[in-house]
Amino acid sequence: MTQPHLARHSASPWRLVWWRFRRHRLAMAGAVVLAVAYLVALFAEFVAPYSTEHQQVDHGGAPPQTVKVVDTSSGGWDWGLYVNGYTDHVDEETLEITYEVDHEQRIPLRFFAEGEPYKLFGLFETDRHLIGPADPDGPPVFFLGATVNGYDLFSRIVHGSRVSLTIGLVGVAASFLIGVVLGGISGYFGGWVDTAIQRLIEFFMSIPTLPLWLGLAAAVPTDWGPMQRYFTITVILSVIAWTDLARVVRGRFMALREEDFVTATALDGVGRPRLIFAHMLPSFTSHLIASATLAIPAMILAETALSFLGLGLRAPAVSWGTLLEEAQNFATLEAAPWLLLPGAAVVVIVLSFNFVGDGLRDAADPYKS
Amino acid sequence: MSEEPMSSAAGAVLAIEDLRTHFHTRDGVVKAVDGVDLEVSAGTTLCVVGESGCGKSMMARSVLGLIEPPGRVQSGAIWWQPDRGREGTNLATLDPHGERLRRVRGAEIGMVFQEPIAALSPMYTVGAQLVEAIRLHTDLSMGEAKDRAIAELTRVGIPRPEKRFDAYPFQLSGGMCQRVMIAIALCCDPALLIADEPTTALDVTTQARILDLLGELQEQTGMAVMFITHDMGVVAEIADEVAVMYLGRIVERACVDDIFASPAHPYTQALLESIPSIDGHRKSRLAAIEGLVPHPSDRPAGCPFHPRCRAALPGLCDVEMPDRHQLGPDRLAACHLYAPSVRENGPLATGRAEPVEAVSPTRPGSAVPRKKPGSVPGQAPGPRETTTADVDSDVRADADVEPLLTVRDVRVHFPVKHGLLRRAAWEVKAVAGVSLEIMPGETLGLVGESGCGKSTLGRAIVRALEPTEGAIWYRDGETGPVDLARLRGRELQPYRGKVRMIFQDPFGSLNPRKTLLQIIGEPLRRLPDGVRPDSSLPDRVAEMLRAVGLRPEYMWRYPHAFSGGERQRINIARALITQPRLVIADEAVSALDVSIRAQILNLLGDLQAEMDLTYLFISHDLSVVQHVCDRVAVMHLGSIVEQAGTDRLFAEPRHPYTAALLSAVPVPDPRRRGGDGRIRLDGELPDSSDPPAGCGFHVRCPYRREERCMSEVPSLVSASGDHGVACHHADELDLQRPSSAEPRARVSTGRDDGLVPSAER
Repeated sequence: MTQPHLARHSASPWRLVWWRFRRHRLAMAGAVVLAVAYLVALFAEFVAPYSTEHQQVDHGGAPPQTVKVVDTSSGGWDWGLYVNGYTDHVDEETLEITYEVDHEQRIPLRFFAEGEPYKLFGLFETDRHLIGPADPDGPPVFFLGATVNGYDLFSRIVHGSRVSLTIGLVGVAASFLIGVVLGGISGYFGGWVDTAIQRLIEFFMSIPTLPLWLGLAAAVPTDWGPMQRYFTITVILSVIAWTDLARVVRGRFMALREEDFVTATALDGVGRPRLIFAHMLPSFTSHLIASATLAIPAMILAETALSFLGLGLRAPAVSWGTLLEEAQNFATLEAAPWLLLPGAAVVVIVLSFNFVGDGLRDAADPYKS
Repeated sequence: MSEEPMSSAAGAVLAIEDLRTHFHTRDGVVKAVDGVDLEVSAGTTLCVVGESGCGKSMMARSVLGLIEPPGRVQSGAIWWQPDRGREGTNLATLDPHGERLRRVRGAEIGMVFQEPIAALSPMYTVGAQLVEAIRLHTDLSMGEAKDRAIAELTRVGIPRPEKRFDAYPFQLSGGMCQRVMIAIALCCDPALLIADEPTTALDVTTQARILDLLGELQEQTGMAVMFITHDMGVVAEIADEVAVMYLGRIVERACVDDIFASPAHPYTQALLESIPSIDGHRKSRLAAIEGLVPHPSDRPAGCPFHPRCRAALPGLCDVEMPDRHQLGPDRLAACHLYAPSVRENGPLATGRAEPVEAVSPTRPGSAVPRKKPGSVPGQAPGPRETTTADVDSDVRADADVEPLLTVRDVRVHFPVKHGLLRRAAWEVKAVAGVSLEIMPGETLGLVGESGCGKSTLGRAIVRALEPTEGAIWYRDGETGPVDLARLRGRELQPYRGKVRMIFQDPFGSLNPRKTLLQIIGEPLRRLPDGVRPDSSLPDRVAEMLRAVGLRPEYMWRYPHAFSGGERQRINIARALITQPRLVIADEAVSALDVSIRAQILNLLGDLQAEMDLTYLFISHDLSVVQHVCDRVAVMHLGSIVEQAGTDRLFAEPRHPYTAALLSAVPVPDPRRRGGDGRIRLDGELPDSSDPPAGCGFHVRCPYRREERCMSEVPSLVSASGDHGVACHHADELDLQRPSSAEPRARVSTGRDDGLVPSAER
């Protein structure tokens, strides 16, 4: 009904989707958060002050340090990033270590600080980190506290984002492929093919998810390396997750098959493969992307849950799930509540994906207003 | 604004004064209703007409406080006074969610919508919904309410109401659902019924009966009716008063006879001229209104109609909003032509719109178009201006010419899968043995109610689906006859370009993700002897776009940039770019507004002459079919019941079903309203999965006689000339078209007289 405005006339469908998406503020915010998170994951070695192996046993369970910009303790305005050091007391009876912030001790920070050497992308040898103590041989810094074993939690969350953020993408990509192919075949051809695929989907959906994960994960040989495990877990997750997508695709195909423009295209002499992939599929790719975006958080949560239970990735691999595993113990949690921070990272990422997915879903059909 | 006194509001139950309903959107204020004044009096019917997008529905919704944000009633008053003795209420000032307005809605004003099935909840039985409506506004107990509900269902003419009380909406036909909606709207005896296009979604036979019903109910209850429609035929049938609406304003108000006899406003005149009248002259060009209804947010300055108006006065109409001018008692027109200053200076010679008395009072609608055939710029009056007799003689003289397409006993059955193993439990016989011939260069019409199988037959011919049985012989002189029904897959490719289809839905038939170049060019790239992608594809598409009246540079745009009428032009371009011989137009103009419909019909006519096309024109709209077709085949329940030359069929129907269809078409002439000799069919189209034995029509036929109708299937027998009819008693029946003396005298000219002795009767 609405008379389109001039710019809209020759705008491509993707541009229309983008225009609508841009109006969804929450989704835009989510998109920005995700962009930052993936950049961090990409440059994890650079962003994190320490590597995953860097252990400070004598600082086990150290609390987070607040980054300060200006030091007024000496009366004047002394500009420069720094954190305060700790003084630690060991309880004679319980051997419990308590930390107190030592306002006297200043550990200056700097950007592009010298630290452990690493190879960025396995190519460039460097020892610079985005931020770190100005003196590489001085006392360590723990922005988000240290784990019980004395690892820097901030560095570990940064490194863990690699696994946690990509497992969702890889898993969804795999399930996407299975889902679109099987759902497409099911929806377009119908008949007994459809019946067979639908029964298969129902079978997969009837399997209780958690026990299946547990069973499959337990079956992974313990001597496999982190990469193999990572890959196996992804496959396990996507084997379960493709069914929903396949149903969405099937439903779309069935609805589209009845559309006049599909009949018209068939009458134009277009063959079946081209009809399916060049004419029908593009009219709901944006829907597919939206539902895929909404599927990624489920994957992330699944990985976190599995690893938390000790059945997904295991140390020394670092993911948000394995980090949370350390927070299982109530006593440790009481002493070091910051160990839950990887959970906060999960929440932020999952929410962002959901917002972006919502925005995409609303924008996916630019022809409805 | 209204400087002259409004006509007497003495009997008015509803008086709308300067109503403005605006929508505050991101892109600015959309003035959907912009200063409407109206009254509806008890016992009368006010028809509000106009093209879609003119704000008719928004006006009706404003009355009931049904405007959703971001819209709101900006200003104006809606005086509601159902009871003469009591003070009126201004509905515009009431809280839309308040108690008072809720009582008015339903109890005092009933409303009926366009889509009856969508307006009823599928989760509840119709009885439950009716009882709920009754109990909301009365204190009746459950049992009493049920008795009342059954009485209401009886009143609206639903057979076996006790049984239907427990039916769900999807178990009833569209016509039945509309009756239920009317029962709900009327269950509390409202003083006003607002009916928003209540028959637009229905078949013409059902429409006729719903209109009859509304008339009867109005007579019984004395309620006022505000009837919103775009169909001038319906207006002529039921209106007492008419208000013509354009872009949120009433441009003309008059009683129904005046509107049709002497339309004052140029918009009213143009609306009337663009209707292909069922008695009108065939194949002449229709006077289409130029352009489209603009979106209310792009309202032109001055008179909103001036860009499309033939009588627009430069310097006046595009600058100043016209006042309403009183042209007589109860007669208003908002047009500068009636301003005293303009009348004195007499610039009327420039336009055709003349003051009331000058318009030919005899044949409204059809008399005018021939005067000005080329009213669409750039479309010269084509060679379609042949007379009726010429066309008929063309077709008949070439009796030895081989038909382009011969359909032989084609059946299309759809299996209905049932049960766990999805076995085909029974079949729907959508097309149950149809034989047809289509001659080169002619236009064959295929008419019937929805569900009669006409679209299925069309789709079988283009081989969008596979016929179950039968043959479809195609011969075009280049190759020998080919049975399209037997070809599979790639074998069909050579014929895909020769037999093309134009679809009904201008929105669903274009892929929104492709540019026009891709959409229109696709068949050329795919079909044999089309162009290769690298060569002149854009040139050919540009040429085709020009041929259908679109700008060639539009080829880079996507379908969302176009309106319904423009999309239908794109559809036509896609169908014709392969230089086809036969085009199946499946309800190609049914989804369009009258003025746009006229443009598209003219275009189809021009292209037929230019490209030597043959059309199979599938439509449920008999007036359109009569206007464009040389011959017509009438389908009922999957079979052809009658087939004849257009003039013969319309003047002398020989099958009772044809006669009933014809008499159900509302004639845009209020003087011919009324029930003289009208045939109203009982019941709905039977279920084609379980067709009645014998003649498929016997359950509805008013002339059903003995055993034979119920046991023996009549075959299509050619009675005289090419007039075939499938009825056992065709020879005995006297199916004169009611009150058709005048048109018959005009249509049966030339050689028809010799052939049809009954025309002289």
